[in-house]
Amino acid sequence: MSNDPKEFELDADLDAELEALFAEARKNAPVPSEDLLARIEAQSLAEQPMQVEAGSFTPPVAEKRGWFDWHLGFAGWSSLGGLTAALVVGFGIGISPPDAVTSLTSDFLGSSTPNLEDVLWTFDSSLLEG
Amino acid sequence: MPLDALEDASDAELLRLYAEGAPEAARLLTRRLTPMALRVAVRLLNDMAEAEDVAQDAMLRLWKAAPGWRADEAKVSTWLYTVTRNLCMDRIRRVKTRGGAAVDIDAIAEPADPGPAADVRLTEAARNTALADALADLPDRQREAVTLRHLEGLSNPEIAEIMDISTEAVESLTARGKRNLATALAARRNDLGYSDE
Repeated sequence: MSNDPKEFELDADLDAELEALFAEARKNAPVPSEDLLARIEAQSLAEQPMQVEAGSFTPPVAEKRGWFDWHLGFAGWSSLGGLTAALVVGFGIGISPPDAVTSLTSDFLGSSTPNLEDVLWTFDSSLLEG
Repeated sequence: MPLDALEDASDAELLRLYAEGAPEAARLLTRRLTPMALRVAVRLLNDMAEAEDVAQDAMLRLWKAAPGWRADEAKVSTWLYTVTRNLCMDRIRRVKTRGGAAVDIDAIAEPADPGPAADVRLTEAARNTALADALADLPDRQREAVTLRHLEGLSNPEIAEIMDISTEAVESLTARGKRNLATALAARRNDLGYSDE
């Protein structure tokens, strides 16, 4: 059997009559009853994954978040334990540095406790002398 | 969100809002898409009760698909046409397997438009029934193609996607379908208000 649509083309009059029938059928197309629409709407609400109150729905927007929320969202609760431990250890080392840290500081800066006045004087001299 | 603010939203946007919990979107989608599913189902099954079941089933599948809907992969209306068509074909196949008839002319709704005078309405109703009869007698694929092209006004590429065939095959099916319709209706031209002149 040929698949060429031209072989099945109707003459113009027949085609026009058929088109008129189609137009009437489109105009008189069946419409859903209110009962059917109510059933489908009830079904849609029953199937809805979650619901917000009618009229109160607004599209989701990005919330303003503080550092704490940001950190939680980024790393989760478990990260806070590690952060707290790091703070405590760092504070302890600052108050009473172990020998290893003291010697490392001496090697790096030339003394165990850098003299702040020396540092500032060097900076001040640099400014004055250009 | 007010209902009228959603009226202009696309089907895909409404489906997204539905999945996010907006009951207004559920109502709008129901009223926007159910008529389409029902029209196609009535044309393909020629049975209002069966068509209502199919429309409800098709819409249920849409609600279930909403949470995972990917707007870039499918147009909502095309998806619904495809699901409705497949559900109709399943029912037609079941009826044929049982050896029953898929056609129930009494179940076809009468035209609801009260506008024209009674005799014109009668003729229109007769023509609608004759067309429905002739469509029901077409081979399944011709009936689908003619319905989607000439009663739903879809383009050939859209029909090709829904029926999963080539555009050329759609053209061939609609042409043959129209030829068969014309032959079936020719014997009733006078009854339907057409003269042979």
